[in-house]
Amino acid sequence: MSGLTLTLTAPLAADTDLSALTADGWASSTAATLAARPVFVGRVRHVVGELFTISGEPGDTLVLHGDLARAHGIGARLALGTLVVHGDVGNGTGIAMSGGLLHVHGNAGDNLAGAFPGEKRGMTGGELLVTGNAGDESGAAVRRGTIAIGGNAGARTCRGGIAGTVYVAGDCGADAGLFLKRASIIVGGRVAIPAGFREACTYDPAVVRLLQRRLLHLGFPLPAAQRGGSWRRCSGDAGDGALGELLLWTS
Amino acid sequence: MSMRIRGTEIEATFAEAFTMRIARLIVTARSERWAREAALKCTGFATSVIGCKCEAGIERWLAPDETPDGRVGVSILFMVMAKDDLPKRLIERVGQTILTCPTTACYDGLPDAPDRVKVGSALRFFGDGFQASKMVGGKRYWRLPVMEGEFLVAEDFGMLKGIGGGNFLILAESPDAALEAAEAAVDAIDPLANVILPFPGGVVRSGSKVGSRRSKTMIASTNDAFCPSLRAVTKSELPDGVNSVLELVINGIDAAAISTAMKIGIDAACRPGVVRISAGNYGGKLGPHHFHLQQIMGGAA
Repeated sequence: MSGLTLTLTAPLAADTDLSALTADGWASSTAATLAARPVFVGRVRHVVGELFTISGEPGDTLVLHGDLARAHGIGARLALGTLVVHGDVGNGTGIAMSGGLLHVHGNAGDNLAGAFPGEKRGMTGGELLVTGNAGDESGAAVRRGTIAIGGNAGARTCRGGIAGTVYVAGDCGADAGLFLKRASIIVGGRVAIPAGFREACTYDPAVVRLLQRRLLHLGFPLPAAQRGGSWRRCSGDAGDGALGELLLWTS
Repeated sequence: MSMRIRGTEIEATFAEAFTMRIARLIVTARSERWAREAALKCTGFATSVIGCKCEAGIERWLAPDETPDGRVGVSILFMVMAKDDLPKRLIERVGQTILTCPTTACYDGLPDAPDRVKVGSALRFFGDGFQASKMVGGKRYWRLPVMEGEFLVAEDFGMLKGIGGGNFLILAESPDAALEAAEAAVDAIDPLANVILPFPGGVVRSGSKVGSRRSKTMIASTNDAFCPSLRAVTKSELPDGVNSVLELVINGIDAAAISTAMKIGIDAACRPGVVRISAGNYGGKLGPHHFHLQQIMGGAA
């Protein structure tokens, strides 16, 4: 596994748009070409090389170090390869990603793996792991792929989820699964059952175990207690066909 | 050239085997009991393609940390002659024996094989529209709602070219000696991966020859040359003193796996009361894979 490592040289002074970082062709970029990619700090155009020191060889892995809580759009439209972030990330992380692996060792902002404004679909493939907490609307309009959040998720998790899976090891905020179509929301902590969901049963679906094994394989910090027990299934959202599911861990 | 292992003669002959299409199923369940039930049903009546349309057997038991979902499991090798037969047989078997068995799930054990056969994508229709798919690790699985809960099955399974019909014959002084030697050989082969022994307990008592003396429609009939009771009335291949013959048929992923199993099995079968180890072949004209006994046993003590 070869790739480039980017280390933030100084704290970000303003909200920063890093969505161009993983635009097409990033995996074949040299340190020099990646350094030339545009970023916007506030309204001011810069290049990646002004914010990060870059080392390593071109490859299908990109590793970012630093507090990027004010950096938004990290991993936008990611389609392949592996992007690892050691630090917090901002809003729109993994927005519209379609493949590859994005692993954030930290917290994430709002609209994790969501959709760009005006687009109907959020994430359409790949795997996005956040070891810490995530903000509101994580996995909004997700079409395919897996999102795993090690801590808590904010409000409206998986809003309008078309398919795909959102695993929240901690608690979920209000209105999880609002307008859910066929997607799965798996919650290890607490969540209020939304009005549009009806309880179906408590059981032990093999697919959860399969997913958990996959997450562990990827290095996701899955709480040991959740690797057993039963899951309470609620179907919803009633207003959208009730083909989606909310699976709640029961001890 | 004469070769003996602990007094047992290793005949200068070869086993003739065929190319088959092979799939590996990983069946998991809540407990070993239900994994075993599913595996036994799935591999039942699957001794020979001659009459069963497929050959199958339990390859090995899997600990929870070896299975895709972390439960106990079993690995099954499943073989047919023709490429087009594999999906048909798998859909029948998985649908009738694993889907129906409480708590089971069924995964592909050959994920890297480029040839794929659709199984879950056909079985999904049992869900009557309530089924759902889930992508995990880039692979698609189907979740079929069932009365007990949910059946999870891989959308497709890998298919490889394997080998069926590796074999050796145990020619013994008595039925007891033949059976003891066969059991020892089966026990020795049992821990090996990549091979199965598709016959009951791993042993065949009714080895066959191609065709029949009496019927043009029969594709196989008793191997009279190795039947002790016919020694006086047929052209027997049995040396003096042999009163019982048992055969081990070995199917495997590749020639190396079969050779290894034959070597270990033959070595275990060479014990008091066993006169000769032979092998079944058709003169080398039917099967492309030839396993020469003395060559395989060249390293044996």
